[in-house]
Amino acid sequence: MASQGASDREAKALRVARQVIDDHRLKNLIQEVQVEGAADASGQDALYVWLVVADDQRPAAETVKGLTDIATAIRDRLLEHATSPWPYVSFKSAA
Amino acid sequence: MGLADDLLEQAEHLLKREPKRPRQASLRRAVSAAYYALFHQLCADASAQIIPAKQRALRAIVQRGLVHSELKNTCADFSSAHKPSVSPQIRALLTIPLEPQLCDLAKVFVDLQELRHVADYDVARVWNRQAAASAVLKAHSALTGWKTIRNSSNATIFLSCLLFRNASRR
Repeated sequence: MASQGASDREAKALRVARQVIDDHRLKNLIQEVQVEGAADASGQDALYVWLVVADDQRPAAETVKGLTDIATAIRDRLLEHATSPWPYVSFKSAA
Repeated sequence: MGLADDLLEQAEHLLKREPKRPRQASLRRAVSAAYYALFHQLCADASAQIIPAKQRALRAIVQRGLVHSELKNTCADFSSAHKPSVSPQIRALLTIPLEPQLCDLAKVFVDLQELRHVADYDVARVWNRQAAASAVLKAHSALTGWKTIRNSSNATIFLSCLLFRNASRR
């Protein structure tokens, strides 16, 4: 996870993710952002951005759309300069 | 409906199968089905580029020969509208910028292939409904967009590169 010792790459990804979230109307749904560099399933260098959200068993369609828009915007911002490492942006539970 | 549409419908069904407490199996299979909806759509469209419809068995063989990792790498190559990562010869054939629907499909394919691996194999990962619903929504949007541009010149080139990845890199 990104922390004091995180690489520049991970720190930059964390910064980009927070900027995108701060600009979005659903920013309050994102409790935390975690960034981790690792190999993906095909063995290629990758960046994992986890958006931590509270469990919602019945999220409204517009909530899912908004969260997806946030994840897509983070991915696209991170892809602006290079496709490697690929930034995988997804959600996970707070618990 | 084709296989891709059926898989997407199945993914959406699995998302809602347990209204209160979704089973991990349902969410995982929803994500996996969403990926395979994209995968089979691209395989069908790519094979249709080179095999006539009446050669149904041959189309199936060509589709079966497509490799997940190579499709992912080609999709990554087409993720940038202004700077696709292809050979100069292929680039000269493309209309730049690429259509946003093409780039979106390419990026979502890369995203979902990884999520599919996690959903199918990483038992430590706990899925919530938002994560699975987001993956299914991305597949749905990408497929909807793709169907509007899949007969375009750029889409034809993209599909050819899916079939013959080496040609797109030389």
